[in-house]
Amino acid sequence: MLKIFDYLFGMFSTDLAIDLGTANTLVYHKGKGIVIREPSVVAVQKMNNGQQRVLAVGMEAKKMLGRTPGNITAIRPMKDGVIADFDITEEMLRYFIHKVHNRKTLVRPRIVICVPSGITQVEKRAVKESAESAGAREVYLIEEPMAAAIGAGLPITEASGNMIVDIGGGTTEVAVISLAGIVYTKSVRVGGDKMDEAIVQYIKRKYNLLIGDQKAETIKIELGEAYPGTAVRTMEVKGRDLVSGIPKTHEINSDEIREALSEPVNAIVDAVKICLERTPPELAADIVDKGIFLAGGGALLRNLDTLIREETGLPVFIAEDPLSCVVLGSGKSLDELDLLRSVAVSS
Amino acid sequence: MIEFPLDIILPVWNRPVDVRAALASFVSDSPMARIIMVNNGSERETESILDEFAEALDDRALLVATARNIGTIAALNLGFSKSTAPLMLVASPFTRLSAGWFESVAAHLANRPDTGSLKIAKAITSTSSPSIESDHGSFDSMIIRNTLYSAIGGFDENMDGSLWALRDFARRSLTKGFLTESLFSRNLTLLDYRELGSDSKRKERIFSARECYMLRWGGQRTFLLNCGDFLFGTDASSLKNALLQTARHGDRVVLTAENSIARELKSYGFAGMHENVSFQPLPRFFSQRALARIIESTLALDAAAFLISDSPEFEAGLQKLSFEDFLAMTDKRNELYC
Repeated sequence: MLKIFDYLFGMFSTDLAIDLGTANTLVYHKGKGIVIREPSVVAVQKMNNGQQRVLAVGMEAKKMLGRTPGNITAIRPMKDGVIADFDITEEMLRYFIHKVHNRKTLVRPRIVICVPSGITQVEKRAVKESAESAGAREVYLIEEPMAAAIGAGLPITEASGNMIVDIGGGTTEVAVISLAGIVYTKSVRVGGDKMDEAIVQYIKRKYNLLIGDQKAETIKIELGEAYPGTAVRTMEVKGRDLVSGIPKTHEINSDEIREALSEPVNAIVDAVKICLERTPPELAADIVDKGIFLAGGGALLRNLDTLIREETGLPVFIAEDPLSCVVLGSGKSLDELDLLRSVAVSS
Repeated sequence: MIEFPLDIILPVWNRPVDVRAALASFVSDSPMARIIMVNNGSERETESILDEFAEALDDRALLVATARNIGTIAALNLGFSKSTAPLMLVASPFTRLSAGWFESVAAHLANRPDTGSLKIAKAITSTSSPSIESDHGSFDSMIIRNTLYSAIGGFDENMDGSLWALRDFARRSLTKGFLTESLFSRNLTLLDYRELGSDSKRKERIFSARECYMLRWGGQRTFLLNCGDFLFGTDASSLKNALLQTARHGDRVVLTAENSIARELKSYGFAGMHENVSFQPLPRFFSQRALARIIESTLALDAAAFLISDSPEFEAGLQKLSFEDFLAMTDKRNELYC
């Protein structure tokens, strides 16, 4: 009986693809494209009876980060690419699903969710259950590098080897894909967040200046680079002096930020090298020809492609829209159900 | 320390499901063997399966690991270097040998001390002969004597992943007096799998391995011998030896004979003597038409094929060669490479 209702409600709902990222959540609406691109942040108010009430989700909640009173906390439910708080993630998913469907509560869409390749069966099951209880009729999980490769337009169903590096907020996934399957993958818990953290620590160590995560992200976007560029860029950074406790301004430059980012960037380069070393010669030969594709927000770090090219000696390309690659790839798989079934992972 | 009569060399790169199934099958159906698992840079999931088997099997397993993927042939060579058993089985995660397979192999090898490597091939019909001399072995199921390995070493790593590496191994075996054979077995099942990597790159690799082989052993030649009553002025046994020698060096031989003589040759074992020798008796009627068809297919195989005919006036659009010249060519190659 329930199945009949599911079928009927399914007829009125449209399929969704969700890139549940550490930093941002993107939602792809079949036939419409990307409809939501919001930070993965939820503002929660603690009630007197111990229960939690969701106050805001996404952009609205991000604005509250670090500026909330005691009983309100802005939470990032995803940490290091995996769900750290299932209840909050479920709330966030429900919010996004309802937002896409204009708050119609009866619709039950088919959803494709991207998950990092390194997550365990238990974590996969948990993501699936979260989506189901958030209102999904059918849930498919796709590994992020696979979705990124589809989004980048790589010929994943062919026997030839394709290498994709998806640098997200919490994790970097390096994968070799062939015959619609991930034949080798390496996931490191280094991404945009670790880069921000590295900038905060560097400025703290060098100038005794404390800056917030959002400021660190701005510095990364403005000055961040992985390999020396043609010009040195500078910017003024405001923060709190750790010795005097008074707000202070310092000028920093791109050379310093490159130094600050060297550790997380090297971790990414090492992951690429390990993946290449462990790829059998028959697939490595294809990668030598076709090169390495970079996707995810981290791919936008200036000269990261140059650094990887320098370190590996292989051609490196940045996907056309690296930030949306994963969600676009999963969206594309929604259009081709056969492809979706062949690339979806079991949970 | 237990001495095993056989070491199974299994190079592994991911495919955890197939690896687990292959190991389980070797453990239950090859109780006489030690399994040498060469972890060729696999991921954690496969690695933990190998660890699990290595721990559970204790002396019956040896786990060797490489930090990076060194290619299948290099991984096999690494496995060979760790082997102590008199026989080694080259296997893949797609090889399944059912219980009782080793007994027939051991019995066959006991009767053939000259056989250095034995390809286990799937028996197709019940009437096919149990074994045949072979041009090359197989990466999926091949027995190699340790004495042969000690004499010539492993596979050539410059010819990774191709048939040419197997052919080169067979030619090198011959230089030390070892033969390569195929044994047809009902115990063998090879699971289907699609090779990874693009076709174009595979072709490039095969081409470069072929070049390497050609440089070492010369090109593969094709000889069409049209045998009449005269039998090229020699006896059947000498003819058979000459043909075998040619075939063992990797050349192809197509032997045709009129119905009456063909029966006699068959009784001398000309049929099924070597994979490279194709014995094609001509029918009693329309024999010339049948011969024309054989010539056509030989030319399609190799446009530079040689014709050796008992009747000198026979013309077929092939380069003509006298039987003496054919023997001289074979002897020259034998002197050069053996």
